[in-house]
Amino acid sequence: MDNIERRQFLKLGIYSSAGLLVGSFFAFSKGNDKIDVLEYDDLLKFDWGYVVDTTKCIGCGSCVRACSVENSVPDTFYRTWVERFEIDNHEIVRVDSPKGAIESFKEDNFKSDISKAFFVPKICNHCYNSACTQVCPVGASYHSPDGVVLIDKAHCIGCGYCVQACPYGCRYIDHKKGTADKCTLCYHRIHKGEEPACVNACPRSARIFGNLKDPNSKIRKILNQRRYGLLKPDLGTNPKCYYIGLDLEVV
Amino acid sequence: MRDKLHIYTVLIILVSLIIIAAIVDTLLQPKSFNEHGHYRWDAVNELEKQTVINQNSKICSECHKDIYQLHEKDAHFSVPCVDCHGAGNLHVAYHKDSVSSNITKEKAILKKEFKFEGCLFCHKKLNARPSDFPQINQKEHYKFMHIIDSTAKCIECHSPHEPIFLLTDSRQSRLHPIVYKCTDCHKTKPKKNFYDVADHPKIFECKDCHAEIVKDFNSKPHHNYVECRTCHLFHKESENIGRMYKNGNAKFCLLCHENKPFKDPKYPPKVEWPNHISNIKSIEKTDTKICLNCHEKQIHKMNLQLKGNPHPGNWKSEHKKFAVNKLSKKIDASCNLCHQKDYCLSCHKVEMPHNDQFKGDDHKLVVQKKGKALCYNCHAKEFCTTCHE
Amino acid sequence: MDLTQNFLFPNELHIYWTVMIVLYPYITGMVAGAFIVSSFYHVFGMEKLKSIARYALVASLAFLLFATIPLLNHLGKPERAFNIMLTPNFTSAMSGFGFVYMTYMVIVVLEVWFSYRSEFIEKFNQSTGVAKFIYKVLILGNTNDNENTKRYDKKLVIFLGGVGIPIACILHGYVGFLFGSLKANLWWSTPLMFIIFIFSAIVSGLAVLIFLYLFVHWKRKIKIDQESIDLLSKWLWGFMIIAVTLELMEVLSISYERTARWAILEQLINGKLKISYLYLQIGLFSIVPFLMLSVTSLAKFNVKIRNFIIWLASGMLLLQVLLMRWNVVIGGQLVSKSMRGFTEYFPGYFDKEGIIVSFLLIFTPFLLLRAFDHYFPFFPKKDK
Repeated sequence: MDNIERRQFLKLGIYSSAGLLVGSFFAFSKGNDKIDVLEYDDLLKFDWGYVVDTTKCIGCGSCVRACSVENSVPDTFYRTWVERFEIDNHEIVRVDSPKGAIESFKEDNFKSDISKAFFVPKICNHCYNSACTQVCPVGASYHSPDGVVLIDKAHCIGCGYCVQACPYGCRYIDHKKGTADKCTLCYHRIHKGEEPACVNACPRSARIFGNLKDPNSKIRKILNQRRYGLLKPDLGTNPKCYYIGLDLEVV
Repeated sequence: MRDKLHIYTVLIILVSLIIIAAIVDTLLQPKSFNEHGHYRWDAVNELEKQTVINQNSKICSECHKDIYQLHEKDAHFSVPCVDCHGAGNLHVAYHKDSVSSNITKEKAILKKEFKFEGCLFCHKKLNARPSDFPQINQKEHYKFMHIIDSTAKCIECHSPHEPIFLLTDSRQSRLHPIVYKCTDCHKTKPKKNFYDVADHPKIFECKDCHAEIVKDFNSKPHHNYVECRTCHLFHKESENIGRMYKNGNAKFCLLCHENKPFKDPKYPPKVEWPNHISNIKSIEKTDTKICLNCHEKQIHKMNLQLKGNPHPGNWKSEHKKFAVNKLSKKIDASCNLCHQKDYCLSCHKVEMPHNDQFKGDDHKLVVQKKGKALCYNCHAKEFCTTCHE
Repeated sequence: MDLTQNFLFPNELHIYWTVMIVLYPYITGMVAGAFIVSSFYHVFGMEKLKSIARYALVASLAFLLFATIPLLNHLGKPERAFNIMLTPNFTSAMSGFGFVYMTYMVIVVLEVWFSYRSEFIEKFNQSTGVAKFIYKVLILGNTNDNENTKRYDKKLVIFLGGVGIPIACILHGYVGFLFGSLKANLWWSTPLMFIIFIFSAIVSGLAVLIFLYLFVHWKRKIKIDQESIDLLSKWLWGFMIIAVTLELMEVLSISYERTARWAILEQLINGKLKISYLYLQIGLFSIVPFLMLSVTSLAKFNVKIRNFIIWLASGMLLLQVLLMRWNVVIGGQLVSKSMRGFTEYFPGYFDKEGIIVSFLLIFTPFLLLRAFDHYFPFFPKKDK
């Protein structure tokens, strides 16, 4: 009886220790860079938030291009993308996002009779009660102390449960690396004083990024003045990406 | 006891396996796991090590100050460098330290050639683009500009750092200096869809107030070709009312009138630049309004004089159809719907509606001293809302 | 809602849970179902099932050993699979998987061991050479076999069977819970999901037992224990009625509520899933076996024909459960979370998670079962 179980056990043991070896090698081999180490208590001063002003977006796709270069996002996957909504006089809604708008948009879907049309950029909502971190079976997806939903790619097993759990379609499995991946709010930029790549690239300031815990930050001021909406608020995920001028049709 | 021996053996094996598993579990725990929550704390710092690729425009401005200053003042001021030039991390790394960064010169070169598509990412005319954003339909634009060569690139005329442009196709136009929204006039949805406001029948036209200028303009060659709002930013309630785009900068005129190989050489009239002015000594070459100095008269009279009665234009024929009496909820365009006979007469002895004398200088001066020449000067704000909900 | 546009979130172009995730609940379903059937004899002492019970138990083990293979094949990083037990995140339904699976494995292995012990000892005494050594390891060097040990073994088998039933339900119910508890997915998110999974597991377990039992007995020309087949087929009939009713009730309640999600799910059922769900799962493979089993359960007629009909019906129900898993797992991912369109899915023939691999994975447990039959036979030898 036991040899079957033991064999399985050993097999898993060998696998995992091999995995750990590779993981630790990976970790040590990169430890030469001289970068200040982030301290837990310092990070508690931040709560990074995101505002999208849909009234300003021109759908140029600069953000998508910048993101894919910055994070070397594989083709056909998107950490951020832009959707186009067109509503005609018969209240027929057409939505599209060709290749996530990485090459902007080509033609209008309706030739005439448009009653309303607008762009909506989408990005990971970094929800306070995120469904994706809840379902990660190994703790590879987590909230950083400064309120960013991140993935530990050295620990992720690639089960894809988080991809299923995200109601916004913001996660994907990178088939080359075999792990889940998503927007990190350009975590490597924000603590060096840079804005995330998409915010940096936006020519119309339709994307605003900042510290929600700082009462004087630009983002706080905007949230205090403007009326905003959230995506799928009924799911109780409590998103942290606020949309100004959000239309009912946007989900 | 002997007969239960095999059961105990199994139990012992099972328990020892569980103990071994527990030990192995603690031994194999990843480093820094559970330090600050159920995740590997080191993973946060591992992410931090990713290199920054997209460069901030401030970094670009450190070396390219001149271009940056030019860029900062013009319409593209909010467009970051990375949008057109690419991420630029190699460029910056190479120029900071070309030896140790191991980057070849070729790799460090930034994108400088701009294809048509690149500009159209932002400026292609789309329904979903906000209407106040300048956008073009390539075919119409080239036809309008009399450009023969359809492969001509945008940058042939528009410098990306200082993109001077005509305002033709933008939907900046406003129907009225005060009326902004459909619901300001219309109670129900109009049958026709005026998504592009420019299609809407005009209520007020420029000539209603600037009659002399428009009359003069119509006698000059430009009137076949451009409209007022091609050069002038349209009325907005701001300091820029009627301001001419780029304040009559020569580059603005040259958009149409500079001779370039891909343009129709005959129409509109072309000049060679800067040969055109190099022979004229009286001209200060740094003057930005260089063209208007000589050609002012070919455009229109430049002195702004507001003339016309308070209800100019097509009020009588068109606009009064929309005047609704709030009380009776009927269309009622009789004068005393708005005006009480003795309202003005009590001071000014002005006839109602105002007679020709009204447009004489006397009254105009009174009005102008008070401020802007709008209805509000005489009539309280509520005056308009009695009709217009 | 206008669906002519067929809008998907850009990342939804890909299906992330492939046919492997269809196979996993299918195989564990058979495990749980077969185990529960064996426990009916071992725990509840249904003597009619005596000839089935051991075979059911071994079948359960054979499927259980293979249940994780599709999962490991699906994982992006299979070498890290152990992480799920190393650092389980207990807010996730999936984290319990390793523990439930291991516990269940221990129970099934022990139960098989205790019920086969005396046979192993017998074999140990007969065999020589390497085989003798293997058997010695198998019996842990203990050749003590008498009335007393048999009594103890039986008691332990009953105990393990009793503990095993809830664990089997948990093992499979949790797969249903995994799907049913995802609020993001319109097609999965229903509390009924885990009950449906348990009942369809029992159906598939019963069906695979009947199917194999009859098939093997015909092939080897052994006498069929008609009493137990009749009993099993009646149970199959009953459980399939419950399972199919629950499946239909789930759709019915969504459609009757007419919330926003019905608008798109209606399109899903009438569009992408029309053939696999409406025509095959509900139409052909639910209603037809139901009618067949109604006839065999209620009417009395020629045993051979009856057994054939039962065999056919159980085969169809096996397919029904497979289709049900497909329609749930794949169907749920076809619907865009934007509620405006559907994606496409075809596993591919030769891909890592393609059709050929799936067929291999489905059939290996059967081959293993055949091998088990060789080493610890669970069917009586040929009639003399």
